Amino acid sequence: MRRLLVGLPALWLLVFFGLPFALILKVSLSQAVVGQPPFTPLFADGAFQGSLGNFALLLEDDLYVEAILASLGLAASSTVACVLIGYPMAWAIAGAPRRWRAPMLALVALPFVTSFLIRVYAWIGLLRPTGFLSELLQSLGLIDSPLALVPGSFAVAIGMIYTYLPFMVLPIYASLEKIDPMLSAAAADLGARPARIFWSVTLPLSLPGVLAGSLFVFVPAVGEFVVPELLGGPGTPMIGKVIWQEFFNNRDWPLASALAVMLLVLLAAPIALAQRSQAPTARGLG
Amino acid sequence: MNQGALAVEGLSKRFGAAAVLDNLDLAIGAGSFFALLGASGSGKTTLLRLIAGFEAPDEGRITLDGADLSGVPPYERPINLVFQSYALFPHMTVADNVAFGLRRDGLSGTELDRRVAEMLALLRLDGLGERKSRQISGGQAQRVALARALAKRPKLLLLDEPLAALDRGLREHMRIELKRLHDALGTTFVLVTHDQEEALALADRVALLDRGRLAQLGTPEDLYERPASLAVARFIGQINLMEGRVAATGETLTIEVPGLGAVQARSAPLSVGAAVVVGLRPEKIDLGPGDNAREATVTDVTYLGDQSVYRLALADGVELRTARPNRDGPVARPGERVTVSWPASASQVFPAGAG
Repeated sequence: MRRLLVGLPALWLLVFFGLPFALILKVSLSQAVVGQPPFTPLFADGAFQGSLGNFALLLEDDLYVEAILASLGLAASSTVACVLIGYPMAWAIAGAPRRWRAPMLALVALPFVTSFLIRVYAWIGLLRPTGFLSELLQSLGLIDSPLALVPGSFAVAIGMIYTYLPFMVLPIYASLEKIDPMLSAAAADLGARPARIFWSVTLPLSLPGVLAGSLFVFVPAVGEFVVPELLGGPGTPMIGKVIWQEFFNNRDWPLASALAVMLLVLLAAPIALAQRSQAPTARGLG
Repeated sequence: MNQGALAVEGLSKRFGAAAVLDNLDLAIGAGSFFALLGASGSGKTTLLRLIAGFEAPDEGRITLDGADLSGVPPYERPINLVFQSYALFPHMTVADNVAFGLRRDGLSGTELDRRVAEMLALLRLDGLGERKSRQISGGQAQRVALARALAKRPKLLLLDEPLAALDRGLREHMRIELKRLHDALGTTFVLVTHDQEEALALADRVALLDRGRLAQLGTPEDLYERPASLAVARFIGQINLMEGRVAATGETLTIEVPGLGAVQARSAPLSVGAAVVVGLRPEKIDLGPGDNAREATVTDVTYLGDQSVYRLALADGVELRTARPNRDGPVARPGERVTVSWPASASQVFPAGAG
């Protein structure tokens, strides 16, 4: 039974992550050719033909480095914004009367029932110069000329926060809800005012949730390119977009694979760090 | 110079339609070890929360050394609480837990370190200061909770079921520890508990609460030997109850109990003909001749080590239980005929039907 419990997720990981990743890693070491498949075999004439040439190319060309930096920057700022907005939301839900919490959580998750693309297009409708927001502000006389938010970095920010906020709210809520209310009472009893209780007791004890939420937002946000593509201007392409282009426009599978491998390595670092900082907590609770 | 006198005046608290505390008056002397005793639903926990400041009363007020506490938030009351679950901050060390309240008072540096070390020494926690609070045992956690609450030198210390979570051996040890602390500090200790043994053993004054009202206030001996009502007699300790009627008054009461005939009982302001309940503590019934002697058959013996409890069948289906110390083992066997007796002063008489 115990073997099955450990074995099933391991099998899942092997089939849906391990094998595809091995394939990508293999392709990243080969060279692009015109043909089917569009890359050279790793072993030919009885010798290993792979090389790290693709990775060297990635580091030489500013385009790729810039795309990675732009993606990391967007993901980081989206994560920070989601913490700042999501924490108060989670706090409010956790502090609400018990019967209100489930409906409020359902509202947070409600956008998931509609297609992601449709929701992003809805934002274009709201934010474009002839859209709802611009016309409303004009009819109120607050602005004279149409407001052109799309395309633009403000619209990208809205789109990213809108897309990833639930992934921040839910884990923070979970960790806030787990905190023994007696701890706040004890802090008050010992002379702490509400603000001090928050800084010294509530916030430190909810940090695991903030960390988990940050990972849930940051990791997929790095690979995100739909939101900046649809809502943003023609600026620096995001890394997700570059991978897409290399695969499907340039048909350079090896280079695209090398980019994907590099991205994965970059993302594995913060996850590993987070796991290490979580580990003592998990032991203590166990 | 003694501080920490608490007065509760006309205190009422309702949750919805239910009155949890009903016009309660109570005075707790400065420096006393006071117990608020009651079953669940008696209002003792609500009273604790009102004293600590976590709830506001609907009516009445609480004063500490004459100062009205109405509207004073918990963080400004010179009262500290030892929580039943201890509520230690899990992300802090033992020393940081103890220092938490002192830091709120603006202490820092060597003065803070000195006060923390002093509390750790007082509670015999030396050497544990750097441990995380989740890495210590239950008994240690209890002492940390005490050290944390006492560090601020409160005028009054509230203890919420302090021994409930400890196993038997530790409980005994902690009782002695609490008494020692109380003697050493002179702080008013208010113990909130449902455990009568805990209240009787620790407190010098006990208030028994029953459905939001004060059932009796007195010394542990008052409550056990001179219960104010049948309800108090039933709540505290074990008691045999017999229904009867007052046949004659005088130096002792003569009570006619069906099946037992005339029984002599402790005098009480009751008139002839009144329906009464006679209460008799098991350890006050002798097996042997004496006053109020009756024949009985032993139906059951429960051996408890230090003592044995005998179940006795008297005439007309009257049943009594008596407890005798096992000096040389049990003194009677099931089926044995014995004589039981008790002095008139050992029985307590309550008007029938009054709770």
